[in-house]
Amino acid sequence: MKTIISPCHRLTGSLVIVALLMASVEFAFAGRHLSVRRNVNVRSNTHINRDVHVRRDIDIDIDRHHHSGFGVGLAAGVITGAAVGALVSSPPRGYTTVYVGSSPYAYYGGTYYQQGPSGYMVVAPPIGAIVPVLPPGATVAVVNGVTYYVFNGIYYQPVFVNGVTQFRTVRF
Amino acid sequence: MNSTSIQAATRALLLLIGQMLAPQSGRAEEPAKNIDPKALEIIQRASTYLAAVPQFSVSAEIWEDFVQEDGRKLQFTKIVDVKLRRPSWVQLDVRTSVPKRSFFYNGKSVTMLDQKTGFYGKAEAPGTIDETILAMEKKFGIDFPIDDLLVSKPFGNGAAMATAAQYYGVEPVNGITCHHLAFQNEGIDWQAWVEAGPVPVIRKVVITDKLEKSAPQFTAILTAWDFVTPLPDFVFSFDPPAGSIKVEMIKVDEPEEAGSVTK
Repeated sequence: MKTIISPCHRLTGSLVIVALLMASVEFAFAGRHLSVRRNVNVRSNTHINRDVHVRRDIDIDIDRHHHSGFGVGLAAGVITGAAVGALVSSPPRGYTTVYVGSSPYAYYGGTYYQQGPSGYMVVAPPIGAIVPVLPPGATVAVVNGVTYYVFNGIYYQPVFVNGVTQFRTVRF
Repeated sequence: MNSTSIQAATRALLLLIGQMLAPQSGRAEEPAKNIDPKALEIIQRASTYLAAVPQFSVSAEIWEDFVQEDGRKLQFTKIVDVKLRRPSWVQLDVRTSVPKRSFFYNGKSVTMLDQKTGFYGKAEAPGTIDETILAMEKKFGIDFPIDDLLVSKPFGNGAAMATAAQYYGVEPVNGITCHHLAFQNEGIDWQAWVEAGPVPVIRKVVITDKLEKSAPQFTAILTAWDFVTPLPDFVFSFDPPAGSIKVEMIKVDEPEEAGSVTK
């Protein structure tokens, strides 16, 4: 894994720091795997005036603490080497399911998997996928004044999804 | 939360929207048997007081339950610092032990800044706080933290929609004597502690989610109420810090799979 920190982009630096912070949080909970999933993190009512709607809390990102930091330096090196077409029995622990249209993909560290009859196959990154964390080692690229993060030739654009920072794969 | 309770939540939401949109003429028949008029009177006094002040700052420490899949209930804490000037200026800083997000609304535009990454989203905004809160939710799926406090009738609609209310006398909150009120609404129970005395500010709020089996709670402790320190325009305008990056804001219906089912 190679991380290039461009001096003119403090953002890359801060992302790296964030990754380290998340890794340290992970340690704090080591030995007690938290299976924090979307459903669990949902709570409905914090509004009295116009109540019930279901929304994740986005300031307390416990879901991120417990999967994204995980494997930042560990599994990533292994996983990023996975070639399209490779078969695995299951995606790495801590993967995220992302939907592009109605198709589910398992996402982990910049690698996308689709489930088949005999396991999970590594597939080419789908365009339009929205992922919660950048692949570790993604580098900054500014194209026409717009900031992207590039990993294995795939461009990720930051976007607020319901107020949560995520990254969308785009095509030029 | 399984899909059944999501459906229940959706139904309850639609029901409540219906109630909110219903004409106010139904009011005369409202004092149902279970409403203690004293509770209603005190919450309305607090609401009216806050609605009438031209500006305020307050700090809310929020304790929130998160129920894990294995049933453990964990509580997490965040702080929301509020600065508000009527009718169209709001600035919020949300933090845990580090800055998380900030909101800036100045009557013309609304900005949300992710403090962690320096990403921000900015959009044109309606002319009032109430409209802006609703527009942000509708267009971008973004909730203003503790919006119950920011709207023109703080907690007032919630009290009006309550099916039952009780008064439990006085109790201290952070050493300050408060009236303890309890309300039951569709889907939630909530309690408020209103300072006893000439300045009826809300000192604590607890919301219990009745739609979740484990009944998670949301607690907000409100401190540092300030009605006098000037809040000039610049407080509410967003000046992008060096290196910050403007990003698109999109709304994805949750809990539709927007990206995060982690195993």
